[in-house]
Amino acid sequence: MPLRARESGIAAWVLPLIFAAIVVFPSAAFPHHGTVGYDFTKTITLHGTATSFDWVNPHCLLHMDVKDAGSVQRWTLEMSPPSMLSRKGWTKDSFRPGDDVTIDTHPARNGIPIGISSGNSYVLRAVVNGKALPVQ
Amino acid sequence: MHQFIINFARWVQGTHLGVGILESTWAFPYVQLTHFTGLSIFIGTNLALDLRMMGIGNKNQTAAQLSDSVFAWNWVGFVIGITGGFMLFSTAALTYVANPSFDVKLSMLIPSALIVHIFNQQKVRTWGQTPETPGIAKLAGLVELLLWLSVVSAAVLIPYFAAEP
Repeated sequence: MPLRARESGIAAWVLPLIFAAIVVFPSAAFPHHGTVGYDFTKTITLHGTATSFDWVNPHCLLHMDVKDAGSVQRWTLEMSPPSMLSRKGWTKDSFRPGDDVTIDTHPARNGIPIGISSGNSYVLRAVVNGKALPVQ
Repeated sequence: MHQFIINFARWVQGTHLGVGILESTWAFPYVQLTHFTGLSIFIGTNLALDLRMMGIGNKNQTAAQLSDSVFAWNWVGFVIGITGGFMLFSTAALTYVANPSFDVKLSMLIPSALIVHIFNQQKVRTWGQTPETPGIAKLAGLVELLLWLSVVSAAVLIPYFAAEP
């Protein structure tokens, strides 16, 4: 049996299959959800009161109340995981409920009160009770 | 049953295991690594056999021989994957059980895929003795392959259905 001739069919089958899998499941490349929901061309500054700080994996979350023209909006800011923030010198007590917080964030594209304030290569400015948290 | 699952999830995420991994500065990526390594070995060996049953792959080795040679790795991968998966689950169990993508994955897709997988692993001993596999083996291989791809899709979609950002 001309086995070699039959095996040449493998590449013709498997390569398109792999390609199709990559096209159909592009997000499989990420361990967690992507960051395409955030507008990285925009940086806004929020000023308000911290309500809680979740020092958790896969990413830390800061919840804060922001007063805007009389009404209060509850913002949630996504940040790097504890492993990365602790290397910058942050701790689970970097924000405590009631703290006065001024922080920069890249807001969500769809306008909901969610933003991202740190990632692999950046930590945006955060000032707690007048004192800036380390960014380097 | 529903209340039992909620109570179980609440208990799990309150254990030292769940809280420890959730708040750890270094353990979490290793737990992810455990889950992804195990499932890669398990699903990788599943798909290799599915493709061979479909008639795709090296015909020097029969499907039955391929199944035998990956059998141990296959189930070792399953155990590693389940262990890592349970540890990931324990970090946010209540969020996971309320996640539609997680629910579909755990309650429908994984049981179906596992049943077909075990069925195929048994049947390949008769279907897979010749270089060319019969039509029924090709169909069974395709069904299992599609089920595992569905499991992976549901898993990938979990963060997109999560209530948190």
